[in-house]
Amino acid sequence: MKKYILSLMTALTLVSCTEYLDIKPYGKEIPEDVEDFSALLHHLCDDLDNGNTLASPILGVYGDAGSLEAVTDNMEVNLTESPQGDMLRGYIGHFAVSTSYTNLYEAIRTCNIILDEIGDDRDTREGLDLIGTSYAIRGVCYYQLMRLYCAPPLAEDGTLGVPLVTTFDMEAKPVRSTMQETIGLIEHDFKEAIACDIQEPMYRFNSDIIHGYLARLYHWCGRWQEARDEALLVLGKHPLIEGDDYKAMINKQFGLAGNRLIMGNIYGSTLTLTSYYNTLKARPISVRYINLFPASEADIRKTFFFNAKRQSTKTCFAGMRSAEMAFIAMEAAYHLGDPTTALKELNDFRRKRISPYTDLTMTTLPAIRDDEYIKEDCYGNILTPLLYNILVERRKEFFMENADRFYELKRNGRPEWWIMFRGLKYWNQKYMYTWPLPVADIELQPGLIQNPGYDEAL
Amino acid sequence: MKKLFITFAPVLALFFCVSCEKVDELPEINEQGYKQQYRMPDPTLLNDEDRQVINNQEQEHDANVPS
Repeated sequence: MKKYILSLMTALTLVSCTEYLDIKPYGKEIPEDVEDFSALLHHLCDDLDNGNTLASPILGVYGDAGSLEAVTDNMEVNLTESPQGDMLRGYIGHFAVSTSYTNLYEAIRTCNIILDEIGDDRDTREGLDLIGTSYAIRGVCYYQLMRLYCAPPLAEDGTLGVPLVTTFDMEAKPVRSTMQETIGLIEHDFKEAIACDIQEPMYRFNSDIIHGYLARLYHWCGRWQEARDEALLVLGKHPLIEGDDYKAMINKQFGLAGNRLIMGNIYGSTLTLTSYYNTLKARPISVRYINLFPASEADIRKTFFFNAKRQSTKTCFAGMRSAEMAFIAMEAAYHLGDPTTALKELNDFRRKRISPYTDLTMTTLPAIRDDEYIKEDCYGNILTPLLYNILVERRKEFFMENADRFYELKRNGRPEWWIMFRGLKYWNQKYMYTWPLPVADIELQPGLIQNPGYDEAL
Repeated sequence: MKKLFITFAPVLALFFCVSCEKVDELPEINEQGYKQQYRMPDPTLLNDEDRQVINNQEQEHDANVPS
């Protein structure tokens, strides 16, 4: 009898342990061998290639890049045609949602599973590719989280980072790290990824791309010498292109070309694309942007970025191409106190886009326009003509790419302005450049700090 | 047997409680389900000055862009 009771009680005890036995993740098996881990990464990379929602915040997709750009000062929200343009959002506050936050942490979880569980295979070539790609994607996810959900690190309020999850623990509920801790983890992940020297092209990331991301990271947080070194390294391997080659690269919607290093949504539907571009045409490009191209300059970008109706005719792009490295390097030179190099590199760049071209000098640099929304640099200092012209050239070049103007506005002073949307007046406010953490996370986790301005959940 | 039961009862109770921990952690829900977003400032009506700004933009656009 005693034996039966003992067995029964032991069985009951084990039943109550079920939750512990399958916590990673609940109800699912943990991959065990290198093929399983490879399948996990292939699934993630497939999502990146096809621009699927889950992975879209990692590299971006053309639709998101265009939609976010459409609420910046490059476009004229007030003149949006209805009903064609009704699908477009009106102001920065319309993007203040937490979907990307959740999706990015899901991708981080996948990376953590691989990094934690890969075990004996970690020293094989395949293992190194898996580990390197996991570090690369995790680093990119945290980089995106930092840019979207934290204030700019060089601003006074840019002290709070994001919660850092570095191991696969479903029970972990970390609070927000400091900005420096977040930057430190991203840097660590990128350097680990570079050390693995990823060889498998299917995983999309390689060392050049990760050096590019390091340049982006250092640029975002003002570590100018490192930003410049990394940017020049990438630019040396993937030089700027010009003329017809440049035009062909920019016009290519799906697939790498020219000096594009990586892109999200490498595959897609032409039908969906045409419909999306027709919607975008309902919102004209602002005269502020058009006026950045003086009539006196034969700039190749004028010939195919927009038409006479001020509609965008440029291909939306989300990813990385080496022109960005040129701008990181020249802005870094400027902040390092080397205006001569910064100006030389600005002229070198402009010569690739404008022909015939006369070099700008410190005395012939165009003055800061009155209608420019960015009035200060990333430190809050009043713009100088040289920095203004670097930012203007970047703005011209990356129109409809990576929502670059949104991030530039955020990095340089977070200017405020109003727009009319569906007959009502909305203010783009400073706090809206930093998006809210999900309501559920805030309610579940004591001590998790919400970004300012988001007080009342609906 | 009684002794055995008394010994195991607290252990069983402890395990049951621990495994039920997550039930207490569900977020609060409202009438529509889980709260998902934050209230943004309400838009306001345009005043005469605002309308003038938009009129100027329309005029500049119409004057320089072919219909």
